[in-house]
Amino acid sequence: MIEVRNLSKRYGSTVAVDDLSFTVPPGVVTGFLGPNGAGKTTTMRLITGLDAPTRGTALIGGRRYRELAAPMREVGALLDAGAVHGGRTARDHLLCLARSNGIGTARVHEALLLVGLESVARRRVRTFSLGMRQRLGIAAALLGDPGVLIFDEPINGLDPEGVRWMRELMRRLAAEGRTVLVSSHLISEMALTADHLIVIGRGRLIADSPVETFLRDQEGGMVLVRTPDTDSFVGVLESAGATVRRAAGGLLQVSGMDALGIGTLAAASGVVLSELTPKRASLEDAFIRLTDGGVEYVAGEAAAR
Amino acid sequence: MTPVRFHHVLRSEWTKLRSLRSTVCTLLAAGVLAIGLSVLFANGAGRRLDAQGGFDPTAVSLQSFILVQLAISVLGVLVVTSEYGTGMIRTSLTAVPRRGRLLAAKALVFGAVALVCGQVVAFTSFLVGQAILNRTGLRDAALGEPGVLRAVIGCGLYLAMIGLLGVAVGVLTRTTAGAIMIRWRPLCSSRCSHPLCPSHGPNRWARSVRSARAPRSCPWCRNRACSRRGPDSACCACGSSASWALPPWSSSAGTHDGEARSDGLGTARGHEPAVRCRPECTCRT
Repeated sequence: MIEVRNLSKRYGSTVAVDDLSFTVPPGVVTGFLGPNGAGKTTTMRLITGLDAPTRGTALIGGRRYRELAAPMREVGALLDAGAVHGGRTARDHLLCLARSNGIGTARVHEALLLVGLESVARRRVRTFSLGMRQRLGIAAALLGDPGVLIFDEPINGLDPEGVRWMRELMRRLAAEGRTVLVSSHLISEMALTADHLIVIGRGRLIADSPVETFLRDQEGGMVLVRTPDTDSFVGVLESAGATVRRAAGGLLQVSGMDALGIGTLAAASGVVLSELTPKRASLEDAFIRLTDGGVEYVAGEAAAR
Repeated sequence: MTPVRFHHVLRSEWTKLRSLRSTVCTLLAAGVLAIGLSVLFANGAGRRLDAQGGFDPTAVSLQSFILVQLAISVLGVLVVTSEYGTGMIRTSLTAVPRRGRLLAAKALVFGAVALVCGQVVAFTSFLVGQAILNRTGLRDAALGEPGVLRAVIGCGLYLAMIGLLGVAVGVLTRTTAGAIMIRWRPLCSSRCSHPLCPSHGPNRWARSVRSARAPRSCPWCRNRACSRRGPDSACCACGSSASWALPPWSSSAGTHDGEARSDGLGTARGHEPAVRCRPECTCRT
């Protein structure tokens, strides 16, 4: 369980994190979403004690990171896959970390197996690709078998197979009852992995809700309907309170009613449906609309709009 | 859950130190420098100095520390700055969030390594030097003679100290280049009178700098006319940074022998080519 209370971080005149409060519960994957420069990494650095907050607190299991008795056995963090000495072998890197928290050598081997790096364990990290470093960082995070996991952009640099592996790993870790906080600027990725979303922009909290709720709140779900009896069914739908828009090719865009309601109506009125497709609002759209005011760096064209 | 103890962090720092090739390379370089220079000094400088009197076999064999200290101080700097340079420090601080504990473990582990290496370097240099002096028929010293063991152990201690100063400067600057510049400057100032010192490159320049300098007072008694005052008070070994670290064994290094009572800087200014600024000096100022 991670609790962030009124957290603020100021660098000179720049406010990186502005009065942020949220809770990351165990057992689910919590996505931490925001455009570049929104303060995601800063927040994670504040949680792991790498930076001191200007105001507020970040607690893990009720204590601040620096007060943890054995940090690596309580929190596993992957903040920057590049934060490794390139001259060390993968195994030695993990061994240094394991020793510092009294973790056994056997666990180093297990962690390397878990991320699939056992064959390159004795190679120097300097020769690793970005994806391999990312896996090494994940191995370091999992070394102490911690109950809380914090990943900053973990899928960066991973190949498609790696991305799928990462997704499954996060879901598995959450299913084991751990607290998993994953940051990303890729909304589509979060839609596939996360159960809960925390969205920030310019250091401020924009949304904190389950993915489903987030989508429903942002846009009433729309259902695409196709039927031979277009005209009569539009009347039925409208009289039942739905809003219907006719699209090209006899397609109906129905909002204000879910797919089950439309199906029930069709069955009751004896209308044959050839298509009934619930269409979720694009997470991207919702995200952009939400963070519009919260984008730190906007491309010229967008800014001129 | 067993909490993290200091010995865990110590073991981690030891693993960090030994798992880097640069550590092994630097220490090997220090060893090669120490033995090589001792051989050179004992062979060359020893013979010439013996002819002039005021010859101290212990000092001759320990001269190698002048370049070895550069290697040790670089290693001390690297122990810290390599973590900042690679970003490893962020991972280290996530594993050991208490800064003081991490730094203490780093300094302790490196200090111990530097102490052992310093003693090995000092004793090896001494023994190799004495063996060569003995073979070439010159007077050699034994560890049992008065002041000799103290001088050799002191040399090793000095090297460990120089290494720890490297760690300190590394912590303060966090950059390798900056720290090494800061670290080497006092070790090799233009005031240095040692013939091996890199600052001697253009010999004439060094001489002109020295002749333009005002006489300094003796660092021990603050008296300008003190006869103990010699270029050693402002040389690689005892200039600024190291003067406090050296006295225990510098007294054995032949500076205060009766024959060595030449006022080093004074004669340098006076351009008397026949008199040397100190007995073992070969710079002929």
